[in-house]
Amino acid sequence: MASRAPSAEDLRTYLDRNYPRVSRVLPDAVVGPGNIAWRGWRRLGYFRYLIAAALMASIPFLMEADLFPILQGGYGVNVLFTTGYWILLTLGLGVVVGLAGLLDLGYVAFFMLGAYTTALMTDSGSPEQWHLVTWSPWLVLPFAVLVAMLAGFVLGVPTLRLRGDYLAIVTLGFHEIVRQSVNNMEITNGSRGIAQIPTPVIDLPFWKLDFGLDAEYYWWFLCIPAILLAVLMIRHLDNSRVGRYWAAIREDEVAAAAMGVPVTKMKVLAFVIGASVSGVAGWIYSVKLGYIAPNSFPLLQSILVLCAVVIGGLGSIAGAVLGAILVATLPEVVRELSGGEEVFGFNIESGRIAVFGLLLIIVMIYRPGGLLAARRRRTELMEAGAADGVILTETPGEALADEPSDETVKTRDADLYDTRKKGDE
Amino acid sequence: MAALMTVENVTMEFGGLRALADVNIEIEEGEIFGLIGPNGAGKTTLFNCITGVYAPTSGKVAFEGGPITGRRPDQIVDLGICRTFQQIRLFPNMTAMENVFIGVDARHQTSVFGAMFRSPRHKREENEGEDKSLELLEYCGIRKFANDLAKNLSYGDQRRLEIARALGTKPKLLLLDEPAAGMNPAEKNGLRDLVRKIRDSGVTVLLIEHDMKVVMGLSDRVAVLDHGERIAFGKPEQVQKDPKVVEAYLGAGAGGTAGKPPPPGQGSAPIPGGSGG
Amino acid sequence: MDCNSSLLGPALVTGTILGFLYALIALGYTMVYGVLKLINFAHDAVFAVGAIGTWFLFGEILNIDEPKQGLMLVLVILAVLLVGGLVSAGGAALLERTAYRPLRKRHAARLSYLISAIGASFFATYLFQQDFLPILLGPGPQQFPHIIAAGPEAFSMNILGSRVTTPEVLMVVVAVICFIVLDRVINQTSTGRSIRALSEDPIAAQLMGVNVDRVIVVTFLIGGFFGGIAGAMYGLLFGSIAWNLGFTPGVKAFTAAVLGGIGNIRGAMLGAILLGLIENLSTVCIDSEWKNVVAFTILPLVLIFRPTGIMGERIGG
Repeated sequence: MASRAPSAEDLRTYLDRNYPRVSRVLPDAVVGPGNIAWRGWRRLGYFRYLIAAALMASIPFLMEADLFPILQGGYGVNVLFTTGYWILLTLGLGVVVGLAGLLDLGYVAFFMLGAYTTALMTDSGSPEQWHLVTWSPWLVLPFAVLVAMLAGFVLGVPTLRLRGDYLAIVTLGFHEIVRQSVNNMEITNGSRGIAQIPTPVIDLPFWKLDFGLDAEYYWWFLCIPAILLAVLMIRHLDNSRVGRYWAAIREDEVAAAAMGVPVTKMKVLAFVIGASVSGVAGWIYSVKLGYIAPNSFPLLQSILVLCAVVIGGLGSIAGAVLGAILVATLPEVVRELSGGEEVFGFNIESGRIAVFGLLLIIVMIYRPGGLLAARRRRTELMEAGAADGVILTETPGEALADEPSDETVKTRDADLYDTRKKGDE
Repeated sequence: MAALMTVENVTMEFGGLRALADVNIEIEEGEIFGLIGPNGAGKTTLFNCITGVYAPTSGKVAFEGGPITGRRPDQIVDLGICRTFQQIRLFPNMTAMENVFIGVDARHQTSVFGAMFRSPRHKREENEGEDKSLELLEYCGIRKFANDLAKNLSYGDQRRLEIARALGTKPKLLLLDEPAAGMNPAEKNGLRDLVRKIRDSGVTVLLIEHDMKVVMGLSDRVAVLDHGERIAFGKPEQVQKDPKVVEAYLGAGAGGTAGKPPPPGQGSAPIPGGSGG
Repeated sequence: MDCNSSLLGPALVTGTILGFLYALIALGYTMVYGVLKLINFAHDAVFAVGAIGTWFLFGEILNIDEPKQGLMLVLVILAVLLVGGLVSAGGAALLERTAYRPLRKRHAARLSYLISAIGASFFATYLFQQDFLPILLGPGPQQFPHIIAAGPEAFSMNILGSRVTTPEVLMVVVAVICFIVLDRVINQTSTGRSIRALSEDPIAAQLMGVNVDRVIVVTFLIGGFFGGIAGAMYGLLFGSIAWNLGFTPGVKAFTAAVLGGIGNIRGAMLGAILLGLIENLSTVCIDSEWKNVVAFTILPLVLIFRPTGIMGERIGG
């Protein structure tokens, strides 16, 4: 985590630190050549992001050329887009759950706010539809992000002082509050939702592109910069003072505060940053689909995003991406392979939630950090503090903040001392 | 000598039980101030009141002339007070260096945007922070464990790491909560030297300690708490002879041992300068 | 805020009755919290499984579809409640075994328990939505067996201008009995003493020879049992059940438990009735559509301004 000069680390040390078991299996014959490539890759610096962009941009063309055995044609590109905004969602929630260690069960509420901000600030729906302004989608993007961030701030400031399990249920309630409010309000057109959200248009003298008219895969191109920017931002934060502070808070909140970490501020920051990413996702989602309604944002989507983050791997970007692919793409693949709506009696659309729910338990028991966890996150979750005799290890932070164990014993003993003293006199 | 910190009439109650009752302490700049007392005397509670874990029920804590009661722990660190914990509270899954880095970070200025966009200040502070952390590990004699996870360090080294981490925040006042607990005699000696070295570098130290040899050998002045009250105060030699202290420590009927010779400080030179430090 | 005063009476009555339902569910949250200091996020599924178990046994297997009379009615109702309770108790024990105990043995971080419990809850809920087994509800609502006569000619009484039916009276009676029984169990039996000891000071309790694993299972069993009774009562009250029946009552019961002081059994009862009243008065004074929003808003407000609830967090109450 702490940044070291890239040259100081080779592939073997990296593997040892992050994937010790993998490292033990791999012989030097593999790691040696790999090391050269790995170092070269690290030397590239920001060029890596350009290469990643190019690779990502090539996916729809590979799909068009039928190079994938499944997910062909327009359907495949659509799945690709879905995976794209899912990756944004998992990256954002990954900051909250994986880096800051806060359980947020209402994350999709921010996504929803981003989408609705877009709908209400563009020329959407019928002429009678209520609008704040009718701007172009591009102009609205920063506002969608801002509204989501603001919501993260407003929710975070009072609630982030709460204990973890309370926070979980409050955020779950927040999702329902937002969803049902939107459902009941007239300005949002209630449960009917808002249709005809305009598509973004690039209109430059040398380049004209209407996302609504041109090829489907341009929507995926819209996701690429958003994903890469989010990755860049999260990586930089994680490898900085902010990331260290988050790690410290996860490990021991009281000790972190005693070392000068502004705990609540850092938690709110995680919330706000997570929300900003989902604001972008909400914008992309609404301009692509052109229609949003409260039912597009059910509570279980919040839960599914959580599943993706946890199963993919807490605190790791690769894990978040993998999780999004598993949760958003896998059901589509299964649907296509099985050729129906049911597999072993499980409805694919709803049954996957049961399957992912089960996976959450399994992952928590056997691989608490998820498939691609940051190693530290894994050890943290494995051994939260193996104090003998405690039924459930509390975060040490709570032990001291709520009721200092030794002090309590002492104050209880105070009575004893007093009687003893009186007896002596 | 100017008072660095004053604790004025601090009272702390937990649901009607008094952990601290009208405690007054004045700590002068550059001294090692010992805080002793039997278990349950309220020493750690006083630490928690000073460092913002609790807000005292009544009373006032002032640091460098300004009141600090009711401030958050991180704000108090910013002012220049940092502590260690009686029960070690390192960040167990971070390396020793990263632990110290967290402390060093308290004095860094990089903003969130600076970190996000890799500002020049961010880069400078990351490099300096790493050097500073290693320096502090060296200073505390645990440089060789820089890349080991904190939980894998020995007990004594963990205590040292806690001190290194606290020093990272550049405190003017360092609060040590039983730093010698669980150490063997050799480690205790080393610790005494370290605490003296810290004081000599200009950091004032407030020390809670059970080990009489350590506390009497180190402290310039000592206050004794019992049942949340300050029952004695003064130079170590005076305090040791105070009958109230003897009674508090040894209980009733222990008067016979009151003449127990003051611990000689295990071969270390007598503390020069007294309260003048 | 302009309250239609003619609806006030019925709102009070409905609110109280729903409050008793929430109270029965809230007991489960509060019991587990008292001992494990953990919110059992899967309790909504435990509640639902009781309703589904009774539906399956009495509706699908025994095919009871005619209202019963007299002594037979009493016996069938007792059987329904008992079956609901036992099924949910079994479900709760299974939950403890699979989703909690392995983590406890490993001293897992708090976050792990929450995630694991959420997994269990969603696994169960969406399993109920499938229909590859006859016991699963499938995507649509299912008729709950009509054991108690309903309709205009059936028994009812008039309280505050509201027509109160047999299941509604039953709801109150059952909840009060359950509450009294639980209070006795917790405060006067040795099992109850162990539970209280564990919730007050786990280390001391273990040193005194309390078998932690056993007490935790018993706690889940008791909480599950009352949750199952609530599930069966839900079926009798509303006449039909759907796969997601647990969610809304679950969150509300949880809110109620926090409102009264989580971990505190009497508090759970008090908080639940209070929540039922607030929620139903809001339908009169604001708009019925905002009912859930009101209920969900109460929770953060309570947590922020009085995190220990009305009656504090001691299990013995």
